[in-house]
Amino acid sequence: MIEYRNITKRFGEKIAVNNLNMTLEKGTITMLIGPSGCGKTTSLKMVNRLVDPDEGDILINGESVFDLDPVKLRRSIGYVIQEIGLFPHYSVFDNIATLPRLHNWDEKKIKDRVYEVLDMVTLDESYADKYPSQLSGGERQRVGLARALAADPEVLLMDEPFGAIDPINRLILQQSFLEIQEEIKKTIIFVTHDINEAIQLGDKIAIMNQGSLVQFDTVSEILANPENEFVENLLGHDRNLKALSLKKARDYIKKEGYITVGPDVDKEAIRKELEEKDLVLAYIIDSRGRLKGRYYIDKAARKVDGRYPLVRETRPYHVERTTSLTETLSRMLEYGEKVLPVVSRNGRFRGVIDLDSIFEEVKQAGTAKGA
Amino acid sequence: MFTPVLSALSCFMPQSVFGLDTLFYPCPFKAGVRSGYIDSRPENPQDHLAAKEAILIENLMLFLKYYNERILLEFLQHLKIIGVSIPISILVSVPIGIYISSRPRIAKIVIYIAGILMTIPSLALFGIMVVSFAPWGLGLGMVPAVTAITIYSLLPITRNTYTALNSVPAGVLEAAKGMGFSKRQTLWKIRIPLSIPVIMAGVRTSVVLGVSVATFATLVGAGGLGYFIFSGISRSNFAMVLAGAVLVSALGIGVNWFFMQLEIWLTPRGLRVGRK
Ligand SMILES: Nc1ncnc2c1ncn2[C@@H]1O[C@H](COP(=O)(O)OP(=O)(O)OP(=O)(O)O)[C@@H](O)[C@H]1O
Ligand SMILES: [Mg+2]
Repeated sequence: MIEYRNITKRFGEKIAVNNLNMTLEKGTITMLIGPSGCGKTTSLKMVNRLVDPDEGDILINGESVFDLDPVKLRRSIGYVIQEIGLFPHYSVFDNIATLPRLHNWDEKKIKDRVYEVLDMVTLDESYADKYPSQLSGGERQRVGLARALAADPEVLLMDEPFGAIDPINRLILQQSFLEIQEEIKKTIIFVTHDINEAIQLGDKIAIMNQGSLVQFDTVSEILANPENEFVENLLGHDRNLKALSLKKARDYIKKEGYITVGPDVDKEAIRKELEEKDLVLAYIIDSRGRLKGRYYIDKAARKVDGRYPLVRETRPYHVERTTSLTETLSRMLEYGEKVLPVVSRNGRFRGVIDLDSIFEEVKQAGTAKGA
Repeated sequence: MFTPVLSALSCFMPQSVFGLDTLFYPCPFKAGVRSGYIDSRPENPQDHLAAKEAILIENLMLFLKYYNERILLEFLQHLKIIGVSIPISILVSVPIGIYISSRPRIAKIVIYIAGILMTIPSLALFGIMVVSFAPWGLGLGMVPAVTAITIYSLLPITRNTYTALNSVPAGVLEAAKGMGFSKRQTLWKIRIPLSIPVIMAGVRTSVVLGVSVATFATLVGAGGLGYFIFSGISRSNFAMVLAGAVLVSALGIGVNWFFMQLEIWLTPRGLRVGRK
């Protein structure tokens, strides 16, 4: 747990951080966002005492950081910056081993740990012997993260870590970052410029403007109830849509409006069952419950012998349980489907999600905002 | 190939250097081609130059024959002067460079002074050394020579050390500090290793400069390859001057190559490998 208590920092006349009060729960990610120069980096750097405040106190687990030796304090905190700052003359291995070596771990333990964190950031062992100049930007940032995690710090400070990485790799990094956090549950302060990143990664968002904290709350609360116009503008006009990105398909699964059939069921039997139930969709499920395809009665096509044709597709579009509603919606629009099957990570069929449920969700978010 | 080069060279050399060496007793060199000038009859200039060249080559051969031991001796002496002054210069300049690296105001002054020292004409610097050390009876020999060359090589090493230490990327320093490196650890583990290529380039500049400046060492009684150049001039023996100059250049090229290898060898591997 990290507590900012009445923190004020001035640079000459300029107040960089103005009476900041904020408590960050253990094991959560707090996203620090706001316009350039609003004091995000300054607030972050006061935790590991790269900057000392003029007034106030910062406590980590109840202990004031100002009672600790700054060098020791920094060794106990993970620090990741946009420039990454890998040591160019150290191999990836030695970069990651930096803090364990400062802590005088024995070499065997260091080696095991280096490979463990490399694996965590999804880099294979062959990277250990490379040098920073031989890595791509995304790989470098993974190594930077691995280096910060190596000594297993409880607190992680990240200053726009993905800011200099191209959009595609940024998405991949964000995804693996979330997966890593799922596993390690660190207390993280994460500075960003990107509201989508804040929504995607944060448990809570702290919005700053001109040195002051404007709003500090959970992501859904901020999206639903922005404190003022400044926050509304920061969130953008499409914040109802953004709210959808927090919601997962798994919570909107319906188990009706379709039938399931085995892979070898006779076409006529399927048509008969669909007509009896007045449905058009049949999903093909194998013996282990995995989605293999679908049949549908194509009512847009011309009738043959007085009946619409029954079409078989072996690779139907689908979403996963953890796919966000925004992503689900965009796939529906892209594929031109109002209903998509939902599968678990190992491909098992779990039900369907339909466009109506998503509309319902947007409508509710809209009324919550009005309230 | 050889002819035009020597012809070109001869244009810049006073006639006496080619000729009057017969006045010099122990050196059994032949007289140069004076005839063409004495009877001032226009001759075929090609024949004239060819004759000059032939005598020069002959003189060179004789020089090498009679002086081979001396050549080796002075060559080693030249190396010795450099071999003493450059390590001293490194031992002085690198710590100065490190000291001023975090003190920009002092740095400015130090680099300015080192710059002024370097503008003193080398010959004058040797003279100053002789006078300065004379009261201690050290006015002649290795001491003034080594001191002068050391002073000369201060600037490149100090300046490069200062520049290199201050051009470590800010992100790297920030990361080091944020991870809990002390100032001293940052210096020894990060800044100095990353500065090696640039510091070594400064050392290389100093060594090459030192090799050529050490030519004057002979004038203060410290010997070295300058002996041949200055004796050659005073005896008007072009072959001797040429041999001395070529030897100094060769030594310069040699040490430059050697220090380039050393530089590569000392540079951390991570700075040498590029992206594949
Ligand atoms: N070392 C310093 N000396 C003087 N002023 C500073 C210093 N560090 C920061 N400031 C000022 O304090 C204010 C806050 O800076 P800070 O770096 O915290 O902003 P930021 O929110 O991180 O901005 P950005 O998004 O551009 O990184 C700025 O106005 C900045 O100019
Ligand atoms: Mg910043």
